[in-house]
Amino acid sequence: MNAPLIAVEHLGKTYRLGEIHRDWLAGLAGRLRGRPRPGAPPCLRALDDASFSVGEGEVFGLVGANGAGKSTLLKILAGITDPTSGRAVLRGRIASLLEVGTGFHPELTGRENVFLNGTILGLRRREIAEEYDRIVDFAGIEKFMDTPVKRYSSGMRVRLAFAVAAHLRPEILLIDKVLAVGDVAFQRKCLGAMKDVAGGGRTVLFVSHNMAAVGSLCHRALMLRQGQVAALGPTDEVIQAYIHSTEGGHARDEQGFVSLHERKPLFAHSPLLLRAARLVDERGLPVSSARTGEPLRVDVRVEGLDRFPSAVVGLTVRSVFDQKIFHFNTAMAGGFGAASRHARETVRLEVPDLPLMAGAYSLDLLVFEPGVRLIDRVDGAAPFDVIESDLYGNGYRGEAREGLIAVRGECSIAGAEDGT
Amino acid sequence: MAKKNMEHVRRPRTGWFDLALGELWDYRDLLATLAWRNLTVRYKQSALGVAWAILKPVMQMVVFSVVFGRMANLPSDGIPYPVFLYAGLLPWTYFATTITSGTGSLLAGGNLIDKVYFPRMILPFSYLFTSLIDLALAMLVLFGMMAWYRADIAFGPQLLLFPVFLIPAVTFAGGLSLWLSAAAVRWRDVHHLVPYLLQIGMFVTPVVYAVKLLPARFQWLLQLNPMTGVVEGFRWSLLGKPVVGWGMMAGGFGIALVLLVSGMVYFRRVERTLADIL
Repeated sequence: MNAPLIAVEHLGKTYRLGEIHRDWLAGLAGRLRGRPRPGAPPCLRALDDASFSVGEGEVFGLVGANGAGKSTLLKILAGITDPTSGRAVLRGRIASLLEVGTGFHPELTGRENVFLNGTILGLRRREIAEEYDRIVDFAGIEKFMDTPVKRYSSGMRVRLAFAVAAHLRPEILLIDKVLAVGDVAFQRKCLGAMKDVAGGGRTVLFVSHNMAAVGSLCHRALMLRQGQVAALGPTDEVIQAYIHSTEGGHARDEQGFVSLHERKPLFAHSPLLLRAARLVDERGLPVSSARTGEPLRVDVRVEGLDRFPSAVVGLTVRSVFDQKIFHFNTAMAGGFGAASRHARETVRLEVPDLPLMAGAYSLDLLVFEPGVRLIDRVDGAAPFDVIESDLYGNGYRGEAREGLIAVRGECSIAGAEDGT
Repeated sequence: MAKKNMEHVRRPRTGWFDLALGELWDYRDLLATLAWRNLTVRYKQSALGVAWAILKPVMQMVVFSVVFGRMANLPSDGIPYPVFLYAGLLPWTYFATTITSGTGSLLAGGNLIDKVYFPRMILPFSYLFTSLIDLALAMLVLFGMMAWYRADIAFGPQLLLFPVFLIPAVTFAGGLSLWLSAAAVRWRDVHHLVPYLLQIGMFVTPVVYAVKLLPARFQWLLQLNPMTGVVEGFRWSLLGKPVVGWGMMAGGFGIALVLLVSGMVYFRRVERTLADIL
């Protein structure tokens, strides 16, 4: 086994908060008059004692909530900013793609920008000239190469930027959320190119909020939470950990309700009707999981249903890959009558046999007036696990990775191969 | 750059004197590309384009010739005032445009600094070369004027030596650009200050007048300014004017060198936190 291409040891970065020398003059004047120097400014530990290593040819995912320190880590690895403690060693040429069209100058043409971008990423002009045709070909925008980049769409910019970076033949490629732009076909092409980069014995470090991309691309992954390594290992496990960590922000009360108070309204001035939610079992006790083929019961505390007599409360279950799997609401269940609407209600939604294979899922809650408007919505209000059960009565245990939906069925021999 | 097994170590930097000149050399193509970009961007979408590089100093020369040559009758060492002025104006314009654009180079390149790694010194340095191209174009007019006034100019073999005097000019402009661009990141005030300093600078450099305008006991003060040597050197080589004080000229170059090296040290220090404070 070769030495790792990226070796990170106890890496840390502290930012000082507050403005730099704000009111410097006033502060100086104050000090001259004998006022004490203001205390040390507050600090933010953006990255805290992170250690991991990435080997040759590995595609390594970096996940975590916003502000978890992913971008800081990538910036340190790319050499853009220095760490305040620890160290990282990277072996090989590094190309970083931390934002779309980095180094593109709007006034210059696509062709001029390919050379500018290439030299910024550390290539010689001669090397760029050799690759030029392939870059243009990959980006698929040959008609626009003599147009100033300021007239490009954002999709075209990503194409060109990624094309340059992918053709640098870097040993290490650092990518931060750039693929969020660009259409599906191009995203697929980029993912393919990243796989090729990795296949050629090179290493990709990939930051994304798109768990589907991380899941299908990365061999191993790392999850950061508040600057610290929260999970490190095979991608599947890290993604599971990530899904579960998203509930960390909500506190549960003594009845197991996750509070949904602390959030911004969906639209300006829209009311926050959804107050709290929990999953319960058949005895009405709070749980954090449901079982395949058994009921899923969700209690939702809602406020102001009396003010919106036609409002419907619903839930949408999503997969790890953020895909909507099914939706169920009170209107589907026949409603609960205007008479019983009070200012505060706890609505129970029950799906009798949950058709989901074992795995991690999350739940969006919403209140809306059908065909009129959405009143309130909380995405990812309640993450939950589905645990396998003996659905088929023969001990077979299905998993979400085989397919998300649990169906029952039969099989028989329809006939021998020769048709007799 | 395509070196195999190159190793990058990221750790808190502490030293004082790590100038990373080797890395600067590795990125020489970026320097060239950026210098070219600066030029293209400066003149794109203007009808006259690169002609502005010639027009600006020529217009300045006409105005100053009328004001300082005709009206104020400033001495010009027996050389026709317009050509005397223009030969001094060109190196000064080179210096002033380099400093102005160099000072803002880090702020203007903020989106680059925040997103990709490359030796940051390349940003202010790129303008040293952009302005050289401007200077080369404006020189064409100077050669034309020299031909026009050929009767009043004592040509000599020293004519070929004028590029030598660009060395102290580039050194001085480079050193000051490093100091000012790095300082401008911390104190935006520098931006407001630089145009005024340059205005004053033009008058403490013998651009519109000859050195002998000053009383002899103050002339050494003028010679502390590295640009004095550059301007005087230009006039000596191109216009055959007897030069004043070679020793002082070397002293000015020495000052420029000190400024360059200290500028690099200061710049490298500011560079550490550049991406965080921009």
